[in-house]
Amino acid sequence: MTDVSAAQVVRAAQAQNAELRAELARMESAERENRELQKQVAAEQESAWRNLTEQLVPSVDAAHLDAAAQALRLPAVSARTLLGEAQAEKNRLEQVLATVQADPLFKHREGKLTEISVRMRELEEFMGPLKETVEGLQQEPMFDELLQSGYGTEAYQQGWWTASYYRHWKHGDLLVEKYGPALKITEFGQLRLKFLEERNTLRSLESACASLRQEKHRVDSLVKKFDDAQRALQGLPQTYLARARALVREHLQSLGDDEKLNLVAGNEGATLAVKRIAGVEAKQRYLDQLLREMVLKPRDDLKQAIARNEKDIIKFQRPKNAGVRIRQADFDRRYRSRRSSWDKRWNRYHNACHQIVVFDSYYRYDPLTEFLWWDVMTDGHLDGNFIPEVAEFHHHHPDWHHHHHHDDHAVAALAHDHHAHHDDHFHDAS
Amino acid sequence: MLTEAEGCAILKKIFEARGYSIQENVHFQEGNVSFNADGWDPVKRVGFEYMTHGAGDYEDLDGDEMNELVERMKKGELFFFIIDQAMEAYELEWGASRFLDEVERRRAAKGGA
Repeated sequence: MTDVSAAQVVRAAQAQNAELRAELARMESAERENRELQKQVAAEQESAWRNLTEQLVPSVDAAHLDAAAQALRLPAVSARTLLGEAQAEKNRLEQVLATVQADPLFKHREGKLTEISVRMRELEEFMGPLKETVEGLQQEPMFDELLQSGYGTEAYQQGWWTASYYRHWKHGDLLVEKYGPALKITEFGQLRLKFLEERNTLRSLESACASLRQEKHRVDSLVKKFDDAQRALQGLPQTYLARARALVREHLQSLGDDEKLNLVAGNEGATLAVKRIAGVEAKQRYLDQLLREMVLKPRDDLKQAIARNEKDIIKFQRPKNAGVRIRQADFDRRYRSRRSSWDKRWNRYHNACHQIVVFDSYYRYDPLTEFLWWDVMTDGHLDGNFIPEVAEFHHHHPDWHHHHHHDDHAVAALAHDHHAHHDDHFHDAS
Repeated sequence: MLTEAEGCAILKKIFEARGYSIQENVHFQEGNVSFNADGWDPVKRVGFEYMTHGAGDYEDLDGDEMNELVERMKKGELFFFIIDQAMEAYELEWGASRFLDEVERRRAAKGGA
């Protein structure tokens, strides 16, 4: 029997890992695409719900509201309840507007804001030079120490025999030299007094500015309150229409498909909308399960296979294993290419995703009969037993046979890969 | 900031440039004052002492001893330049020169040299 050297195993494992990594990249790209499709389907679902609630509550007219309340057995959307709430809200908003309009600060807001702005500018002009001196001195590294030590006053206690005394003297002189000419002072004691005086003035001016800012904030708040109330008042019909539709959606979401269809019986548009919602929900489930079963699970297998190959590459490169021989049959089984079975799986996956996404014959849904969305969406041409929900349905309906929509033609041609998926997982290499 | 050793070297140089003969690490003992002075001219009775917590100078020259030393400086009997905080070289050089000016001014005022 022929066998294979360790070096050949290393080369084969490296080549296989390159193939596995390319497949992994393909899976990652498929995952991104699937998530994007799921987002599109979620948007389709929102649109389906919007369509249903628009069918059931076309406007906030009392007649429309009462019709919806009666059909759906939902008193919360009756004209009496909902329009009563709307009227109460209208009264509240009008009261807010009246209160704000009566406030003198709001009445004279234009003049007040101009006055505040002029006074702020004046104060800022005063504060400019003061800030320059005060902040300039505060940023001087030695100034605070000189101020705290009392240097330049009679309270200064440092003895002439200490180095600190001379250090204060030196830095005091440097500061007088720097700031003296502009401030017209010649000694540190004068500089200190000037600083304290200007700092106090600056604090008073800052406090005046803060009061003005507060006043401006009060005016701005009143203006905002007025604008908000006015906007809310103008949008009141839309607000209560949206509320009625939200209540309807909340109510219907808690019901099963058959109950929903029962409630909307007689309303053709709403009936179709309910079926569309059910179908789009199934689309979401299927896309998610396709991702799980055909991308994420095989991806875990691939990762394990790559790790195992990496381990073997290291192992078979060790000098002590240089003479090891592997049986040809084991080698072939382990390192044969899986490309063709992966391609089959990808074909099946993309085909299924496509058929699910493009499906729009929601009217075919009938919850009162044995019904499987998968078969309707794929017209029974794709085996969906790898999806738990589909497998469970078939388990409970062993004699199930899907009736093709455009039946009896070319079925054999389309039922191409019913059995093809049994060898597509990469178990041998893992 | 200067280390104590760097500061002492600068001070020795400045004091000597002004005519003092500085002895390093001299044991000073007069009256109730006893400590190890960083620099001291026993003839002209002028010296310097670094007061750093790390070196234990506050234990060597305690509060009472410092008070006695200050009283004697005020009387013009001796002079010690006390370095009581870390500083840059230019600050120490400037301070030491002004201190020695003050010593001369006080001795001149007292009528001694």
